[in-house]
Amino acid sequence: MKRYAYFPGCASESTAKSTTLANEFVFGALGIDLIEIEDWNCCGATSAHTLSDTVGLALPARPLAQAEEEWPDLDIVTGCASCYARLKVTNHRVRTDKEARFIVEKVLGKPYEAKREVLNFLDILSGEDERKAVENALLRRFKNLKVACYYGCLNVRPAELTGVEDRENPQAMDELAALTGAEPVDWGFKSECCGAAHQNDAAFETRPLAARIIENARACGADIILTACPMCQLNLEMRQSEYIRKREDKLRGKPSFPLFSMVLPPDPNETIPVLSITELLAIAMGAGGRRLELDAHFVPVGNVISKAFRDENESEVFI
Amino acid sequence: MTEHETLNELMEKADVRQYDCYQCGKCSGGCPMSDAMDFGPRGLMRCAQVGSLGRILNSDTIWLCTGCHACVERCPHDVNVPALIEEARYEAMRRGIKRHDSDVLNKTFVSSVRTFGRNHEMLLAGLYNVFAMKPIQDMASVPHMMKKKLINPLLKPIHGTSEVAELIERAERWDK
Amino acid sequence: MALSNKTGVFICHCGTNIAGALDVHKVVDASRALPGVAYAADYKYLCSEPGQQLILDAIKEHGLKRIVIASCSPRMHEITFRKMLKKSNINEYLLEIANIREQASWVHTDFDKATEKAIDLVRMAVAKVGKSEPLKAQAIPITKRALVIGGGIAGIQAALDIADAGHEVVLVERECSIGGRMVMLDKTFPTLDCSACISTPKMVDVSAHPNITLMTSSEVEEVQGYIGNFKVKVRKKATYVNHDICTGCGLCEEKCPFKVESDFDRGLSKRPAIYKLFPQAVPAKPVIDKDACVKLKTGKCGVCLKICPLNCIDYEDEDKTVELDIGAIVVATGYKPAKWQSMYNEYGAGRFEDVIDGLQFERLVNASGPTEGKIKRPSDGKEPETVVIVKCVGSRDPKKGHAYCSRACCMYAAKHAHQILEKLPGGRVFIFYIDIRTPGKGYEEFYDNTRKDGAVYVRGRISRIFREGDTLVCQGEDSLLGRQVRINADLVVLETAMEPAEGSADVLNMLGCAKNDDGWAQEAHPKLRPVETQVGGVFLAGVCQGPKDIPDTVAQASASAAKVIGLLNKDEMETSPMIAAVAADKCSGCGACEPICPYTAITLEKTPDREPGTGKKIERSVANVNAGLCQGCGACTVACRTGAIDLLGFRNTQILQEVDALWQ
Repeated sequence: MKRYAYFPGCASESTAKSTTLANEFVFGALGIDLIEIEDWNCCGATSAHTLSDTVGLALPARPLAQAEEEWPDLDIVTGCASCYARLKVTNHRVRTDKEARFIVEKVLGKPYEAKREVLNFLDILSGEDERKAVENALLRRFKNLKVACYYGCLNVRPAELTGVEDRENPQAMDELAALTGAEPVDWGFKSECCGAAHQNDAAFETRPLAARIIENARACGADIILTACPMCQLNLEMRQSEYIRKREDKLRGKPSFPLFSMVLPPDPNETIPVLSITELLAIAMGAGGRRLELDAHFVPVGNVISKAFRDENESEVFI
Repeated sequence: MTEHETLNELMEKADVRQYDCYQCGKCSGGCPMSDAMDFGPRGLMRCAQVGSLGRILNSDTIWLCTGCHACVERCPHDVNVPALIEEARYEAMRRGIKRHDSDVLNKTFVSSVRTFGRNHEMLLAGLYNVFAMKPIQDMASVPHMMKKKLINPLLKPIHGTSEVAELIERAERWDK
Repeated sequence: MALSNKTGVFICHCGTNIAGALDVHKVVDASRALPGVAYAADYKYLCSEPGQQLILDAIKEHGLKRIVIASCSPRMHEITFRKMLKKSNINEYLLEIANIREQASWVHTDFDKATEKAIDLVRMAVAKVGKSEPLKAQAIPITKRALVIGGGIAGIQAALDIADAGHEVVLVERECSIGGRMVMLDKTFPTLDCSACISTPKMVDVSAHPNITLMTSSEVEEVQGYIGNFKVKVRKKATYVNHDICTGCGLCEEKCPFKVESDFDRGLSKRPAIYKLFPQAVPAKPVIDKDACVKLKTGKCGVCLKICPLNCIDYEDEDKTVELDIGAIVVATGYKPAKWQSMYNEYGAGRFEDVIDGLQFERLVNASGPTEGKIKRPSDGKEPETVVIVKCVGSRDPKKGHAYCSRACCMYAAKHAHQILEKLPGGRVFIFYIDIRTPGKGYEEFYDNTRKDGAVYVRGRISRIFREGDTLVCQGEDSLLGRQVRINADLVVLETAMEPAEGSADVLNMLGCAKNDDGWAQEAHPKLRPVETQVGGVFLAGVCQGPKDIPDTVAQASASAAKVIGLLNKDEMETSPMIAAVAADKCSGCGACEPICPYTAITLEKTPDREPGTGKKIERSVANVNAGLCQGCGACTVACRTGAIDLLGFRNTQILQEVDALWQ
C-alpha cells in the first residue's frame, strides 16, 4: 500500500466538500493511504507571499517540517493547486537557496531539509501501477460524456517546479478521465489561469478569465469541465451564473446589473457542470450521488452524469 | 539610494535583466490579465528598460498579476516577469503605494490565519467585502453554501494557533 | 654558419586603432633596445603601398635579415607582408607578426598597461624570429575536376559556372531530382517571377552540359585526400528503374496502386511508390521508393514491371559505389525548415491541420501543387477568409528555437500576404512581426506595396493559437496599441526558421570543415574569405553557410565557382611549408602520432637504417608526413614522445624562445 503525507488545504473543510468525500472514496478504493499532517495550518496562498517573502515561506514550511519529522520517508501530497504551488516553491527554495533555508529554519525554530517531494493528485494517479489500479476499481463506464480537463495554471507551471512536459496541452488528467470512458475534448484553456487568486480584490478584472474558460469549453463541445483544484472548481462554478447572465445581457444589448445577474438563475442550457477529477473517478468506481453529496454543487450535475451511463440500470444505481 | 539604483537592486533580487527583453510582446499577448492591466508584462519590462521605477510601482499591472507564469513559459529570452512583480510589490508596499484593495484582502487573510491557523473562505470574503465596501460581491452564493453546509458558521481554530501566530510574528520581524 | 639575427621591427598605428590605445613611440623605443634588433620604426598604415615601401627601403638600407611587424592579427595581413618580402632578398618565412591590435589595443582600456603588453608581444616576436629558418613552399599537382554536393539552386549555379569555364563537374544530389527547395516555391520576391520558370531551365542546362556528370539519388560517403587531390566515394542508391532505357513516359506512376505522403508537397498530397519528384524533374525519370513499394517489401505486386513497355523495371537493383578523383569541392547542402511542432506547444504542436508552415503554403499556392494553385485550407478544402501569418517561428528565439534571424522570412511573409490578397478577393491578412527586415534591392518597396495592398502588420509575437469550436484563435499583443488581440483565423501560416539540412553535419565532418553552434558551415573569414573553408580546396555555396535568400545564394554560388575555377586553372599549386617535419634519427617509430592526426597526413614507413653498435643494415618504421594533407595544426608534435616531430615555423625552440623572452 502506497502512503503519502497529506496536506488537505483549507478548502477541503468547506467549499470542496464533495471533492473531499470523493478523494476519500477514490484513494480508499485504490488502497492509497493518505496520512493527514497533524494540525496542519494554512499555506498562505496567495496573500501571505504577496505581503512578505518570509511569511510566504514560513507558513508552508511548518506543515512540511512537521511531515518531515514525523514521516521522513513519505512524499507530501495535496489536492489544491494553490497549496501545491506554495508547498513546492518552499520545498524548492529550501533545497536550492542556502539563505532561504537558513531563514526558514531560523523562523521555524527547527530543522527542515526538504528531503521529500511535494506532489499533487495528478502526479500520484498517473503512475503506471496507479492507472492499472484505477482501471481495476472501475464499476461502470461513461458513454457520450465529453469532458474538458482543466488543469489550472499552478498545477503545470512553472515547468522547473512541476516537471510537466507539455504545459500548453497537458495530458495526465485527460488520460485518467479517458479510463472511465469519458471523452476528453481538445480545447484551448487547459492551463490558462482562471484568476481565482484575485476574484475578491479585483473582481471586475478577473471575472472574464473564468468566463472565457467556460465559453471555450462549451464551444469545444464539452458536457462538463473537470478540475484538479478546489480553488479553480469554486471559481468556475460559483460565479458561473453571473458570467452567463452578463453575457446574455451583453448579447441582448442591455446594461448588466450585477445583483440581478447574480440572483436570477441563468438558462440551464447555458450552464456547464464542473466536477473534480476525483469525483468523476469516484462515480465511475461506484460511488452514489448522495454519498458524494453531489447536490452541493452550484451547477447541478445529476442530469448530465445520469445520461452518460452506458445502460439504464447503471444510472439508477447512481441516483 | 537613487531611483535607478533601487530599480537595479530590485532587478537583481528578482534575478531579471531588463535588457534581455526585446519587446516582442509574446508575454502580453498571452497574459490572461493583460486586458485589464495598464502596462502588461511587456510594458512593465519597457518601464524597467527606460528606468522608470515610479511607473512600475504605481502601475496596477503589478497587483493584477495572478502569477500564472504563462509569460515566462513562452518568453524567448526566459525573462521572469512574475519574479520582478513580486519584488516590485514589496517595494510598493514599503512605500505605502496602494492599488485595488489587494492589501485589504491580504491583510484580512493573514489575520484570519493568525487567529484560526487556517483560512475560512467565507469569513475572508465577508470581512473583505465589509472593509472594501463591496457588500454584494459573491453574496448571492451564500444561501446555497449555508444550505449545503459548505461553510460552517462556527469557526474552529487548529490546536497550534498560537504557534502559527508566533511563526508569522517571527517571519514579519525577520523582514524588518 | 647561422643566419644573421639583424632584425627590423616595424610598428603600425592602424590609424587610431592601435595608436589611440597605446603609446606607439614607447614600443618603438623599447624595440630598439631588444637583442638582435638593428632597426625599428613606426608608420600610420604599414599595410598600405607606402608603408610596404618603407619596410623594403629599410631592409635595403640597413641590411636587415629578419622582420617583425607589430600590427593587426596575422590572419589579416601576414600573407600581405609575405608577398611583400618576395620583393626583397629575405625569405618570406623569416617574418613574425606581433598582434598588438586584437591582443592589446582593442581589448585593453588601460593605456599604460596596453603599451606594456604590446612591448612584451614585440619582445616575444623578436625572440622567435631569431630562431626562424627559411622555408620553401612545395608544389602539388591538381586534379581538374570539381565535386558539387547538393543539387539545389546553389549547387546548380556553381556547377554551371565551373562547367562553363571548361572544367569537369560531378554534381551529387541525394533526391531523385535536382532543384532543391527553390522548385518547391511558387513565386520569388521581390519581382514575383515564377520560381519554377526561372529554375527549371537551369536544371535542364545541367543535364545537357557536356562537362557535368549528374548523379541523383546519390550520397557522398567518404572523402579522403587534400586540396587538388581528393578521393571521393559516392554511393549511388538503387532506383530500381533502368534510366538508360526509360523514356519517362509515366505509365508506371499512373498505375502504381500504392500511395504515400508526398514530401515534395510537404504532406499535403499523395504520390505513388514509383514516382518522379515533380513533373519537371531532372532527370525526368521515375524511381521506386523502396520504403513504400509493396513489391520490394513483400514480393506481391509487380504492376509497374507488367505495365512498362520498355521493361525498365529491375527489382534486383542494388546500391553502387563510385570512386572519383576530385580537385575541388563545393558544399551546397542547403537547409530544412525547422520542425516547429516539437518547439511550439503553444501553437498546437501540429494538432491543428490549418496551422501550416511557409513551405506548405508555397505548395498550396503553386500551380503545380496539390490544389493547383487555389488557396484551400487543409482541414476542409474551404477557401480561407482570414489568414494569420506568424513570423520568427523558431528564429530569434534562443529558448525554444534558434537565436539567429533566418533572413528571408520577412520578405516571403510579405510575398505570401501579397499572394493571399491577390488570390482571395475580400480576404484579410494579419502579419505578426517583431521587426521588419527588408535590406535588399527592391525589398522595402515590395513590403511597402504589400502594406498598401491591405495586409495588416501587427507588431507582436503570437503568444498562442487555440481552438474555439471550429475556429482557430490566434492570440497575441498589438504592442503598438498595447492591447491584446484575438483573431479568428481560417488559416495560419508559420514562417519557420531555416535549419541546416538533414545530414549536412555528416558531410561537413567528412570534409573536416568546422560548423558554428547552430550547425552552419564555418567560412574561413566572415568578411574576407566568405566562401572558403579552413580546409583547402573546399568551398561553400548557399544556405549551408547560413540562412540567405535566393539572390544571395546564387551570388555566393558564383563566387564559390570563381574560387574553384581559379584553383582548377592551375596545373599545380604551392602548399604552406609550415607543416610537421620528422627528425628521422629521433623517431622511434612508436606510431603515437598517427591516430592523433586529424587529416590522416602521417603514416609509418619502412626506412633503411643501420643497427647502432653493429652497423648492420636494417629496416625500421619512421613517421612520414604527407605535405599535401598536413594542415600544420601541430597536434602530432605534442603527441611525440621523443620530440622527433616539429612544426616548421613553430619549432619547439622558437616557442621556448618566446616564452623565455616573456620572462626576461
